[in-house]
Amino acid sequence: MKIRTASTGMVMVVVLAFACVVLPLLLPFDPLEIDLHHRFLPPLSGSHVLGTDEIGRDTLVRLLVGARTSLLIGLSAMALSTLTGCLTGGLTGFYGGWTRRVLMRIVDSVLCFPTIFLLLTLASFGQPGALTIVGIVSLVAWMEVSRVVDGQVRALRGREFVVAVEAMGASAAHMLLRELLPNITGAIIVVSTLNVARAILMEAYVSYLGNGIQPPQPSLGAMLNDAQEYLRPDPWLAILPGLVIAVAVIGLNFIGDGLRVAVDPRQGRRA
Amino acid sequence: MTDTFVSRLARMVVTLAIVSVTGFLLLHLAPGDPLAQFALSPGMTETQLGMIRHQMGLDVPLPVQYLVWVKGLLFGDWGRSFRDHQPVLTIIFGHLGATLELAGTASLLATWAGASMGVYGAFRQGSRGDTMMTILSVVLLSIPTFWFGLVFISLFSVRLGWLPSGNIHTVGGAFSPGDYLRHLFLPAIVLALGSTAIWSRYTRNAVAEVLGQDYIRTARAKGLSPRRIRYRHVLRNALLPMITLAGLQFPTLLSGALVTETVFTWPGIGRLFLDSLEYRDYPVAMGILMFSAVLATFGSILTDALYAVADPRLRVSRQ
Repeated sequence: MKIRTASTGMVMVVVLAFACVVLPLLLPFDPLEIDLHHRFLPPLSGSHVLGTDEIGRDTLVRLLVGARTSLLIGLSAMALSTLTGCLTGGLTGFYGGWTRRVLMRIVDSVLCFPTIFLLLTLASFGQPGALTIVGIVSLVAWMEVSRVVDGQVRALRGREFVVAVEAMGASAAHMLLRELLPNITGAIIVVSTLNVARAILMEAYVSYLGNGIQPPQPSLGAMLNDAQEYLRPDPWLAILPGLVIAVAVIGLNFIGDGLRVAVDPRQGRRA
Repeated sequence: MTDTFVSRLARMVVTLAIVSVTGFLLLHLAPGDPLAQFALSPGMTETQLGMIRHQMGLDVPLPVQYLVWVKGLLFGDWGRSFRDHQPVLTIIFGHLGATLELAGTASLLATWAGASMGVYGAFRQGSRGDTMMTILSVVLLSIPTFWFGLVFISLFSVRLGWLPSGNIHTVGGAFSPGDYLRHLFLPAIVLALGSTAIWSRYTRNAVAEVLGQDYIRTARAKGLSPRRIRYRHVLRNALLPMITLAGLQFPTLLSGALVTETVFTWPGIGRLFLDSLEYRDYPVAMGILMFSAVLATFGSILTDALYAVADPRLRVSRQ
C-alpha cells in the first residue's frame, strides 16, 4: 500500500515539475500580460484553458509559473535547512553535554513561537521576494532536521563500528562525516522530503498574508489572496491555486511517508 | 519527582527568557516604526513626534526598554497599546473569549472525528476503509487551511447563501444563539480539518501499537468479549500517547486560529496579533507572544504530569 502511494506521489510531483518547466514555454501567453477585454473568463474558454483573472491574465500560465517558484523555494529552503540541521544536530549528537543542552533550549524556544509570527517578523527584515522566503523558511524549518540527526547520531555513537574507528584513532570529523552521517542518510532524506512539503505550505501562507512574493509576479499564495475579492464573479480563481498547492504537497508527503517505511521497515509493519 | 519538577520549571523559565529576548529584539529591530501612524497626520512637527516617542518609552536604549517591559511583565503590568492606550492584558482578555470559543469547538470536533477515524482504521488495518482514511489524512494535512476557508465561503456563503462568510454575529443585529452558531459553523469546521488529520494519524498508530501487544493476545486467549477488550484493554492503553498529542496541540490552536480568524474576520487573538504586527503595536504583540509561549510551556508540563498520573511505570522518570 505504502509503495503504491509513494509511487503515486512521485508521479504527481514529477508531472507537476515537468509541466511547470515546459508548459510556460509552449503556451502563447505571458504571466504578466494584461488583457482587459477578456477578464474573468471561466476555464475552457478558447485558448485560455483555465480562464483568466481579474485583469485578463491567463490563469494556467500564472499557476505554472507560481508553482515553479513554489517548488524552487521548497527545494532551496530544504537544502539550506538540511545543511544547518545536519551540522547542528551532528555536533550536538556527537559531543553531547553543554553543546547539546544549549541547542535544545534554543530549539525549544523557537518552537514556542507561533510559526506565523516568526515568518512574518522575519519577512519584514528583508526585501520581500523569493530569496527572503527561502531564508526565513529555512530558519524556521532546520530544527526538525537537527532533532532527528541529533537523536540518530546519539543512538549510533556507541555502536561497535564507531567505537572501532575511534580506537583506530580517527578524527571527530572523519567519524561524523564518513561513519555516522552516511548511516543516517535515510532518516535525513525522509525529513527533508517532508520539509519541502512544509516549505511550500509556508510560502503559500506568507504570500497569502502579503509578505511573500510580490505582485505582479505570480505566486500561489498571493493568487489566493487576490481571489478572495472575486469569489462571486469567479470562484475558479480561488479553487485552482489551492489545487496546485495540494498536488505538490500531497505528492511530497506521499513520497516522504513511503520513504519512511522503506528506511525503517519495523515502523512500516506497524503503521 | 520533585527534583524533575524543579529542573523542568527551571528549563521553562530559561525557555521563556529566550523567547522574550528574541521576540523583543525581532520586533524592535524589524523595519517599521510605531510612530508612522502619527507622522502621517498633517501639521505634525518633529518636536511633537519626539514627545510621543518619549511618552511611548521608545527614546531610551533598547536594553533599558526591555528591562522596563520585563519588570512590568513580572508585576502584572503588561503595558498599554500604542493604538488605543488600553492596557494590554485588558485587550488580550477581551479577544481571548472569541478565540477560545472557536478553537475549543474546533478541537472538540477534531478530537472526536480524528479519534473515531483512527480507531476505525486501526481495527481494520489494511482494509479499503483504512487506506482511504490514511490518504484522506495526508490530503487534509497538505492543503493550506485558508484555502478550505475560501472554498467553503465561496460555496456555502456566496453560491448557496446558507451561512454567513465572516464576523462573530450579524452586524447591527441583536445577539441570538442561533445567529452565533451560524457564524461559528464554517470557521470551526475549517480550523478542525487540519487537527482532525493529525488526531486520526496519531490515534491509528497508538491503537495499532497496543493491538500488537502480548497482553491483548492474552486477553483474547482468556476469552474476554471483543467489546471488553476494545474498551478496557485497547483504548485505555492507547490513551497515553494521545495525552501527549493533546499537550502538543495546545499552542498550535492559537497559531492555527490566526489564519482562520483572518479568513473569517473572527475578532479573536489571532487577528489582534496580525493587526498589532501591522501597526508595530509592540506592547500588544509582545503580550500575545508571551501569553502563547506561557501556554505552550504549561501545556508541555501539564502533559508530562498527566502522563505520570496515567502511566504508573513513568512515576519516577529520572535518567
